[in-house]
Amino acid sequence: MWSSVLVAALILQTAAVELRQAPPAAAAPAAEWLVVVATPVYQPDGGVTTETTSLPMAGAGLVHMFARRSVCAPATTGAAEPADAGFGWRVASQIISRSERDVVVSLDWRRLWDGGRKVSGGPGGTVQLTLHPGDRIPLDLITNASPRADCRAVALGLEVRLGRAAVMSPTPASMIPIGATPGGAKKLDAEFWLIHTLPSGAEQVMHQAVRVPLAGGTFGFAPMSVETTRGSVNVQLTGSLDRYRAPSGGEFLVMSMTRLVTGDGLPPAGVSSNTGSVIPLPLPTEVPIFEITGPVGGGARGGGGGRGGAARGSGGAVAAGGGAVAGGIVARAPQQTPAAGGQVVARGGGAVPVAVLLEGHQFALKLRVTQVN
Amino acid sequence: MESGFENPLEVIDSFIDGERVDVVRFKAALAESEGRNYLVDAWMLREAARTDAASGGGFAAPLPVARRVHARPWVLVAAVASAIIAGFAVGRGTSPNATSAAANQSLPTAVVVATPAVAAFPVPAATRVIQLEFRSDGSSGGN
Repeated sequence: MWSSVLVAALILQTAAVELRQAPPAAAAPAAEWLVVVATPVYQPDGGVTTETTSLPMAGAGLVHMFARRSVCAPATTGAAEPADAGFGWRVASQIISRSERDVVVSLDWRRLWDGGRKVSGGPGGTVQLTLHPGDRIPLDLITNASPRADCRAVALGLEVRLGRAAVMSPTPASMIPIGATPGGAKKLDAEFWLIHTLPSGAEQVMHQAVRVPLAGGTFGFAPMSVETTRGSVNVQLTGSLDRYRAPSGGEFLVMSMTRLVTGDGLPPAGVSSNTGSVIPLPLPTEVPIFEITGPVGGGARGGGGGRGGAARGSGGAVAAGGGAVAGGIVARAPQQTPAAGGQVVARGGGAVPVAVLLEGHQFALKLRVTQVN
Repeated sequence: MESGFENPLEVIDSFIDGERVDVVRFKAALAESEGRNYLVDAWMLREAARTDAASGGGFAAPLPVARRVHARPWVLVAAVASAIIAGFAVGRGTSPNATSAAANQSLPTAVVVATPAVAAFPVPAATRVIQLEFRSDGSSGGN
């Protein structure tokens, strides 16, 4: 018996050493799901503004989700504890396993700040969650005890969601300006705001910040729930930023986005569609907004050009057909899209264009980039 | 002992773990702002892990397993523990490249998250409008 135990321990130790020696590439996750920690701020008019951050695809992670003087301006940091937090949490995570269908994660969360100051013994817990695509698991809620004119929010929440990770796909040749060379000059921090305007006019906003290496990077939002007349659907936006340099030295970005719509009346795998644009690298003071128009209702905001038409560029840049002219480079316009797009056969029997399904719901994406020194 | 690092940030992990590191590599890693941020994040993560361990917190503990009580449980426990320790020692000594650096790979690693210098909310006003329309990717037939 003792020899069996000895042999078992020997095998376990050897296996453990082999596991530790696996190169980082071999530990890359097989699935494409991202665990997202979110802090939604609930407004009295139904609007929601949400700060989000993604947990590591594998292993351990530590983030702080917080707000400063009021609950209305959520923010996030990594492992470093924020010095000026007034509300918020520390969330430690450990990815247990992942598959094509779900992700198992252990979370240790604790409310560290409330009422504008640090608290000890605040609510917290350790949970092991099996997350499926579209899941939203609330962990805690801080009510806004003293609403003010500049912050009428009802509460600040802490949630865990599961979103699809963006995949870096090759940029279509038609979108790469002639003479461009891949790669940027410095790393970038890119911020994205996904803005969903409801038919009522209320806005639901999700924010995320990502580090963009010289070659480019990806971003991805957790699904947004959309209530339609035909049922509830989830809209998920992912994308990538590819970086190129013009022969004249200027840099520009090829922005690609994928929208996946899943839910009632749609095929089980959902309905996926793409779009993209080429823009000069924005200055830190510039905030371009990508308005995603639909064939019904338009939704143009701020006097932008027509569908697939001209967009206004700063610094003399002119966008055409969704593309842009940067530093003298001639951008080939991406393919024009059909007016109403394809139709999908709903499970109920009828053909429902996705754009019609989302009628009245407008989506837009704002971008701000800063160079990392 | 330091081994060849594929990721330049691994030298920071080794330094935090108290290992000997290549000074040139370490200086090079700290020359980048990403390296300095990583050093702070990794240190804070380990600090938090130590705090959790000290306070009895941490990740979900496995469920207790019921065991039958024997007449002399300490004999059995001592024997099993001795066998496991001996097996562990033999395995460690015979496994190739069983270095402390490899062992430290199992420690938690901080993730570098971009932290905006400017507040994200309220949402900044747009300075330029670009209109896009989704087109089907051909795999599912929607627009």
